[in-house]
Amino acid sequence: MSTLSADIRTLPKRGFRIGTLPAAFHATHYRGLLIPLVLLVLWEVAAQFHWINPILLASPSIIFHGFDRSLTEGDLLLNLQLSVTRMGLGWLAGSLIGLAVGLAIGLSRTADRVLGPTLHAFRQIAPFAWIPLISVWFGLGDSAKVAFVALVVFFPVVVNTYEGIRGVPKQLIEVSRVLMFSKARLIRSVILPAAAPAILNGLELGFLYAWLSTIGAEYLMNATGGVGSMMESAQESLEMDIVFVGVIVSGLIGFGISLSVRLARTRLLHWRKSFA
Amino acid sequence: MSELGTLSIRNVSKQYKVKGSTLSVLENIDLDVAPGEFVSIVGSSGCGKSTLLRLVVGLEGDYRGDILLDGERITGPSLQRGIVFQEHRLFPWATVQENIGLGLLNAELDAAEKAKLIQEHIDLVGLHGFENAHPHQLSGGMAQRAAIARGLVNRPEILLLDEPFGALDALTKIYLQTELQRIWTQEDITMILVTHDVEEAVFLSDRVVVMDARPGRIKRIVPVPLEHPRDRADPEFACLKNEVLSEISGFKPVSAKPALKVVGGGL
Ligand SMILES: Nc1ncnc2c1ncn2[C@@H]1O[C@H](COP(=O)(O)OP(=O)(O)OP(=O)(O)O)[C@@H](O)[C@H]1O
Ligand SMILES: [Mg+2]
Repeated sequence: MSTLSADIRTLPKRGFRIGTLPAAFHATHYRGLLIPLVLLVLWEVAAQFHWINPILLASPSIIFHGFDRSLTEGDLLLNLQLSVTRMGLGWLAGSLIGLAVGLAIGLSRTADRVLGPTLHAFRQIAPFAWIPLISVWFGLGDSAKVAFVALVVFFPVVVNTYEGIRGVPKQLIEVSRVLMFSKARLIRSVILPAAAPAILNGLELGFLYAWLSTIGAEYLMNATGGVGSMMESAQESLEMDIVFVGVIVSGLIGFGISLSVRLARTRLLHWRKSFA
Repeated sequence: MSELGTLSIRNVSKQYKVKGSTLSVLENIDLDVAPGEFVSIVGSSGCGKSTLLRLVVGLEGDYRGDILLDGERITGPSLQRGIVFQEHRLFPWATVQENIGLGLLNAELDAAEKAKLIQEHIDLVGLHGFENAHPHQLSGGMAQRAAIARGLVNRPEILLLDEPFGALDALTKIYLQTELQRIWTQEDITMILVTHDVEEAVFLSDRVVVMDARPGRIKRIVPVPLEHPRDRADPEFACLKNEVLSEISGFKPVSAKPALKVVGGGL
C-alpha cells in the first residue's frame, strides 16, 4: 500500500484540510498588505495635520475610537446580529426556492418551457429596482429585508443549478443508460454529483450577494436596525467614524464569507482536479 | 442456433446528419456472431467501429437494417450487453471501488457478495491499493483498467470493448489480454473487441473483421482457426497476422525479402 500510494498524485483526504488555510496567508500575501499600510499611515498623518476635512474622512485613530464607542455606547453587536440573521434567513429562503426551481427546470423540459422565459425576463430587472415594490408589499421591517435578500440570492442559485444540470457530460449519461440506471438513480448518482460544482457556485455567489443585499436593504429601508441602517443613521448625523466602522465591519464579514466559502468548496469537491 | 446470445447484424446502415448534410458512417454491415464467440474489428480511424458498437449496445436507435439478439430487434440498452468505451468514462466524483460498484447496481446480490466481486475485479485489473482513489488520481492506463473492471463485473452475455488496451504499456497489455481470454473461456461471454493492434486481434479472436472507411463497411472477415492459448511466435500465427495487416493496408509484406527492398521495389 505504501509503495503504491506514492503513485497517487494527491492523496485522497476526507478530513478537513487545515493545510490549505495557512497557505492563503503565505509570504506573497503579506506583500499585498504593504500598500494598504502605507496608505493608512499617510491617511493618519494627513488627518493629524488637518490636510483633510474630518467631516468627509475620519482618521484611522478616530475610526478606532468610533469602534470602541459603537461597541460600548452604541449597538454595533446588536446591529451585527440583526444583519447576519437577515442575511442567513434570506440566503436560506432564496437558496431553497432557487434550488427547487433550478432542479425543476433543469430536469424537466416542460418546466423549462413554462418557467424559463419568465425567469429570464425577471432576471433582467436590476435587483434594487425591486425595493420600492417590496417596501409596498412587505413594509420596511424584517420580512421586507429578508424577502429582498432571498430575491437577490434566488437568481444566481437558479441559473447555476440549471446550467450545471444541463452541462452534465453526455458521455456519463450514456454510461448510466448502458448500466440501466433508473431515473431516480440517474439523478442521484450522476446528475447531482456532476452538477454539484455549478450548484455550489450558485450557492456561493448567493452567499456573497446575500451580505451585500442585506446591507443595501437596511440602508435603503432604514427602520429596524442592522449594520446598513447604522451607517445610514450615522451618515444623517454626520458621524463619519461610525460610517467607517460600518464599512469596515461589512468588509470583514464579506471577507469571512468568501474565505469560508472557499474552504467549504475545497472540502466538498475534493474529487476535482483543480479548484481554480 | 438454439443457444442464447446469437447476435445478427443484418444490412445495417447508419448516417449522421451534420449541418444539414448527411454523413454515411456505416453501409450494409452484415455480421453474425455466435454465442460465446470472440470477434475483433480492425480498421482505420473513423471507419465507424465505435459507431457499430454503439448500435449493438443500444445507444443509437436511428439506423437502417436490423440488429437482432436471439431474433429480437435491439431497441435500447440492456444488462445483457455491456460496453467498455474508448474513453474510460469513469464517474469523476466516485472512487475506483464505487465506479466498479455502479456496474453491479442492478445485480441481485447482497452487499457482501457485491463487495467480494468488486474486490476481485480490482485485483484482476491490478488496481489493488487504489480502491479509494478518484479517477483524476489515476494514470490513463489505470483509469482504463478500472473501466474494464466495471464492464466485466456484471458478467454480461455480450461484452463490447472499444480499444480497451490502447493506453496500456506492452506488459500490462499482454497480461490483460491473457486475463480477458481466461474470462472469455471460463464464462462463455460473447466478446466483440475493437482494436488497432492486429496481433491482439489475432491472439484473441475466432474471427477478425477488417473494415474499410468512407463509408464504413466490412472488407473481409479473416477466420483464425488456431487452438487457444495461442503462441505469438508460431509461424502460422505470424502468417495470419500478416494476412490481416495486408487487408488493412492493402500492402503485401513479402517476408522472404528485407523490408527496405520491398519499399524500393514499390517505388
Ligand atoms: N454523433 C456524431 N455526429 C456526427 N458524426 C459522427 C458522430 N459520431 C461519429 N461520427 C462520425 O462517424 C465516423 C465514424 O466514427 P467512429 O467513432 O465510429 O470511428 P472509429 O472507427 O471508432 O474511429 P477511431 O478508430 O478513431 O476510434 C467519423 O467520421 C465521425 O466523424
Ligand atoms: Mg472509435
